[in-house]
Amino acid sequence: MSDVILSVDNLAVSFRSDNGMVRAVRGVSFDLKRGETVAIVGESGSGKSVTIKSIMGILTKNAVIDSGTITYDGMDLLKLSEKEYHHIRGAKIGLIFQDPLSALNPLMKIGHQITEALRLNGPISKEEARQRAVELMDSVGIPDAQRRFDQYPFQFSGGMRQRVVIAIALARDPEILICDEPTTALDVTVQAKILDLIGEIKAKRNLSIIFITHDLGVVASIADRINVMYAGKIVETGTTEEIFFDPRHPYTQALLASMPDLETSEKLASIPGVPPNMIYPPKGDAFAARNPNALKIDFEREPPFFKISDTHYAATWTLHPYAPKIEMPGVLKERIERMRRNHA
Amino acid sequence: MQYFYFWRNIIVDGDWGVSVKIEPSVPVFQVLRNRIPVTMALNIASLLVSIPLGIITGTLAALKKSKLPDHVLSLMVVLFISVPSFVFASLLQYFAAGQFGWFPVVFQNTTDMAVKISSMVLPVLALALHPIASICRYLRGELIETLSSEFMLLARTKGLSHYKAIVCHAFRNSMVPMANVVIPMFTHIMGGSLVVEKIFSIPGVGGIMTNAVSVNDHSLTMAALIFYSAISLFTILLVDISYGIIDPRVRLGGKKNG
Repeated sequence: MSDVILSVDNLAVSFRSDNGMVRAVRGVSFDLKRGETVAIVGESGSGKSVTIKSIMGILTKNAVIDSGTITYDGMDLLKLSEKEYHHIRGAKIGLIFQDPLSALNPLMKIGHQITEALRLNGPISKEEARQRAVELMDSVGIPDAQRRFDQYPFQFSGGMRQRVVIAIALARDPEILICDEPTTALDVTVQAKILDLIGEIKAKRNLSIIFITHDLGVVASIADRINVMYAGKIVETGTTEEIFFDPRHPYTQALLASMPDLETSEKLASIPGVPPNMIYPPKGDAFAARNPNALKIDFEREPPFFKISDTHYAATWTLHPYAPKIEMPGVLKERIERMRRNHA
Repeated sequence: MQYFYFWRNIIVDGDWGVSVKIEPSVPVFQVLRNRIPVTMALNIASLLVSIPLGIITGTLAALKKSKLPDHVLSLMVVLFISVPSFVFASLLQYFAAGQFGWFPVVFQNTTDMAVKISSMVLPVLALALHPIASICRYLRGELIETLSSEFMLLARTKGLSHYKAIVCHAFRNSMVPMANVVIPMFTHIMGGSLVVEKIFSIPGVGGIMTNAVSVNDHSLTMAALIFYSAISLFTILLVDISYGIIDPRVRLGGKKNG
């Protein structure tokens, strides 16, 4: 177990609201191994952002951590004081934000926003800080960094700003990089470049990455393992191949079936219904209400994790030995066949 | 025709005429000359007192949002904004000066600076309450918005302490709309001082202007009004310039950064 660098165990987080407690995360567990990229996939409101905010210790004040531990370097991050957290945030775990347009302080020079992080590592001279910041900007692919150093965020494009955010996250040389939908707010062409950059810096700095996204297409190219989240729980976990070529949970299947691609002329499949209201979390499998093939037991009892392989688990009753065999939808079957062929 | 000459004199010679009733035959700006410093001192002092107090109370309210300090401050803000300054002036004069005798009742124009300053405390306070409340209210709103912004989260994920993140990131960004509030506030204070000067018998422009109006001394009224208008215009100019200093996005025509 020594290569596990961060371990989230049975994390449950709720938010106080006027209408009652919102159960945003309900028992999430996963491990991050050194040098690995773990993706958390799920739709809006599935609890993926709340999970990583708990890791960073930046939950809003109305959040309540119901249970769980987040172990890093022998410490439970959830028990750290705000002051102790300053040695973790930025220094050990860096975060890349979803929206680079609002993540930078609009009134502060780009260079200053980077050196500010650099200087937290220890006292360095102004020239040295500048030197290091310019190197950092170079390494994340910002051209003409010397001149760009003195510019303001509004003089940067979205993609360039995301590179700045990445530079800030890397400034203190963290071991873990958390990417919270880093490409969602960007153009598709820029997305690809940013993903390449993340892959590149990961290899260069031997980073471990937690990658949050709702876009399976993005995940395919970057992740080693995938956790699929729905309604505050991980419903399926496996390697990227296992999730893409052998999805078992009906939600994972529905997600894959609703991915747009260029090769079919069929109408894009969509998942019917809406996610459950997490003030009143459903009793059984949270996805049952939207699953046309749901079994009776899906509405009554929460499914445990069924083991498919050593790395592949899914929480769905369809994997129970007594469950009726449910055929995968034809569209999805075809698609998986195609993906397999393309992959090989 | 006389009106034409009046204007021609103003434009060509800068001659604003003489006072007719209050100090007969004395050029109007000579009448005002000694009074302008007094008024300016009073108003600038009020502004200088209100800015730090407003910022402190506003920050406190924003950081303790929806807690006791915030509620208490909100209540005081409503009170200070809705009650005009001359009411506070009269109340302060009656209680702090009249009943308890902490400060002189009226302005003392002596060379003894201690006495002079202590006699300025009450009028300055009366004038400052409204601006303090306005600054507090605006800053609270701005800070709360800035504190919940994404770049504050980024500042904290960098590893900055909460305190440092607020000082380095939230503060300056909240100041952008503040310039728009604080500087014209000076004009507002000037308006309040028209009456407050009268209450505390301060020999300023406000007092002489109300007198001039009531005795039909037109040229003097005109000169006093020009003084107030000039100040208002100047403050508006200051607002526009200050934007460029605080917010780099507003700096136009700069070629340095291309």
